[in-house]
Amino acid sequence: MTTAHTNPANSSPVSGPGAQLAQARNDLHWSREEVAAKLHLSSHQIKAMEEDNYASLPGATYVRGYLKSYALLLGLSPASILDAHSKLTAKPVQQDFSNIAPQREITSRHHQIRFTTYLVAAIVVGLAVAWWVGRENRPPVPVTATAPVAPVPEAAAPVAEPSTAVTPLPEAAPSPAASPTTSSAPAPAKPAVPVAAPASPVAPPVTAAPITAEPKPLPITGPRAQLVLYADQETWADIRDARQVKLLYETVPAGRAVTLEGVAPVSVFLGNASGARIEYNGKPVDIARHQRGMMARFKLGEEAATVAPSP
Amino acid sequence: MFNSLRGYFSSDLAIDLGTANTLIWVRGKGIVLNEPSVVAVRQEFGNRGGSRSVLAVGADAKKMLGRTPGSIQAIRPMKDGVIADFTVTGEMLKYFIRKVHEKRLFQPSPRIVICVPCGSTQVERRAIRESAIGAGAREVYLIEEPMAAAIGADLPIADPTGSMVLDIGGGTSEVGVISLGGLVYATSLRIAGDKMDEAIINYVRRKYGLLIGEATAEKVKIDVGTAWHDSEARQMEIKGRHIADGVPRSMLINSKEVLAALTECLQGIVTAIKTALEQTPPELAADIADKGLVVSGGGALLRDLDIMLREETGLPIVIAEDPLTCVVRGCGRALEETESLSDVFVHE
Repeated sequence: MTTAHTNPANSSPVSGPGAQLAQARNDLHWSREEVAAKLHLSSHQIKAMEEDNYASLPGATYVRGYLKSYALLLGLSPASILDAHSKLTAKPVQQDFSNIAPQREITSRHHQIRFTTYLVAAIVVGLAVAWWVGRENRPPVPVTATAPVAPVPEAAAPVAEPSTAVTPLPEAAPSPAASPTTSSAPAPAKPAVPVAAPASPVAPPVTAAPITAEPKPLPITGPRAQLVLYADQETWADIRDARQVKLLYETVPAGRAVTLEGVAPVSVFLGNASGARIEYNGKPVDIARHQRGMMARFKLGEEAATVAPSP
Repeated sequence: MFNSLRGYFSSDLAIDLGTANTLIWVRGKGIVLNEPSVVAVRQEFGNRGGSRSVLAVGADAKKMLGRTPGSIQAIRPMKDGVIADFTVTGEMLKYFIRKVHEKRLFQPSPRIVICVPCGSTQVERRAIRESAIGAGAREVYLIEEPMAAAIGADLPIADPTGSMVLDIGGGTSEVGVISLGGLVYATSLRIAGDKMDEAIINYVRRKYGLLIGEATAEKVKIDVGTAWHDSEARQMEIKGRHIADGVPRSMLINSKEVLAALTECLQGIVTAIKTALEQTPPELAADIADKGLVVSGGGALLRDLDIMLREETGLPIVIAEDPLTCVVRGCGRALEETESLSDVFVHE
C-alpha cells in the first residue's frame, strides 16, 4: 500500500491538496471508487477531498486524517498535502463544548439562596427578640406605690400619717391595711401615690398609673392584706395574693420600698431574703425563719384567712 | 485558606500519568514535561532496616533500567495504567510537580487533572487521587483516558454524533464511543506497548534462545516493528544473552518476525474494537462507519497500524496528530474548560 510512486504533485503547479491528490490518482489510473474501497471511505468523500470541499466532511481532525491516508496511498508526502491543506483553510477552530455544559440549578449552597436564608432567619430572630423584650418591659404587676427608701437611720423621720395608698376594697372587711402606717421603717420620701384601684368584680379598675396586670375579677375570698417590701439589697420578689394575682413579680432594686395590697393569704418568694424586709399589715415579718439559703418562700396571713368570714 | 493562597502561586496542571511516560501540561504554556515513568530508588542499609531514597526520576532513571546494582532499584511505579507502587508514584509526582514549578518561592499547590483508564477500579482511582494529593495537589480531577484522548484529538464529542477513539498507551489500550459529551461505551484492555515489548522478548527467547531486555525490545518495536504484512521490510541487529551459552550474542531481526511476535497483541486490540462496535447502538455505529476510528497514544506510531486496522475492521482509520500527547492535551483542555466539561470528570 505504501509502495513508492513518482510524485507528480511536486512538479505540478497546482496548490490545493485536492488537485494534487486528483492528479496523482489520475496518474495511477485509479478511479475514485477504487480509492474509496482501499481507504474504506465513500466515493463522495473522495470527491469532496479532491475538490477541496471540506464542508461536507466531518471535522478538521478527520479531514486531515483522510488526507494523510490518501496521500500515503498515492505515494505522496503527507506533510506537503497537510501543509497545502493548512494554507488553504483558515486556522482550525477548536470544537465548542459549551453546549454540553450542565445547566447549574440553584441549590441550597448557592450564595444567593444562602444570603436570603440568613436574611430571613435574621429577620425572624430579630422579630422574636423584639417581641420578647417588649413582653418583658410591660409592667407585670399592679404596683400600688413605689418609693425610694432613704438610706437614713430608721428613726430619722417617722411617718405618722395614714397611708393614702391604701384603698380598701368595698366588699372586703375592714382590714388592718387601712390603719395608719406607723411602722418604724423609714419612709421619709414616700410619696404615697394612690394608684391601686379597688378590685371590684363588677367594675374593673381604671387607673392612670402604668398598671397593666390588673387583678382578674375573681371573687374575694379572704381579708385584705397590706404588705410593704423594703429592699435593702437588690432582690427578686414574687408576691401573689390568694387569687394568685401577681402583686409583684420583678427584681426590686436596692433602696426601694414597695407597698402592695391584695387578698390574704399572700405567698411570698424572695430571691435575696437577707437583703429584704417585709411588713405585713404593719407588722414586721421574720423572714429569717423561712430562709433557705439565699431564698425564702412563705405565706403570710394564713391564720387571718382561715378565720375571715367568707363573703 | 492557606491552600488557596498557595494555589495563587501555582500553575494548574494536566497530567497523563502513563505506564510508560508521564506528560505534564501547564496552563498557558502547553506540554512542559515528557519523561519516562521510572524512578530509581536507593536502598540504604542501616541499624533499623535502612531507608529508601529517590536517586533519579524520569529519563535519568530509565537509563538505569536493567543496569542497577543490588542497592539501587529502577522502578516503574505504574503498571497496566494504574499504580503498582503507591509511595514511589507519589515521590515521582512530587518530583515532576516541583520540576515544572522550579522558579516558585512557595511549595506549589496546583489543581490537577489526571487521566485514568476507564477500566480502573474505584480503589485504583482513589490511589491515584491520594497520590496526587500527597504530592501537594490542591484539587484533583480524574478523567477517563478515552474521553481525554477524544478531547485532545479535537473530536466533536459534544455533538449528537458518534465518535470512536482508540488509545494505545503503555499499559492499557482504551476503546471508547462518545456522543453528547459522554462515553456511550468504553472498554480497557491490558494489551498495549508493554505487552508488545514482552511479546517481542518472548519471541526472541523462544525462537533464538536469546534473552533481551525491555529497552531493546522497545527499540525493536519502534525501529522495525510493523502491524501490516505488506509493509516495507526492515531489519536491525539486537544483542542479548544466549540462554544455552550464557554469553552475549547478537543477531538480526526483521519486521516479519516482529509482526509475528506482535500478532497476538494486535488481534486482541482488533477484537476489542469489534466488540465495541457490536455493543454500540446502531445510529452511533453508522456515524462511526461514516467518519472512522481515531487512534491516539504511542501505539498509534506502530508502522502501518492504520492499514491493519482499516483492513481488519473495515472502518476508515485516522491517526491523531501528535498521538503521544493527545491524552495530555485533552486533559489540559478539560482543565481549561472545567465549567463546560465538568461532566466528563470521573466521580468515584
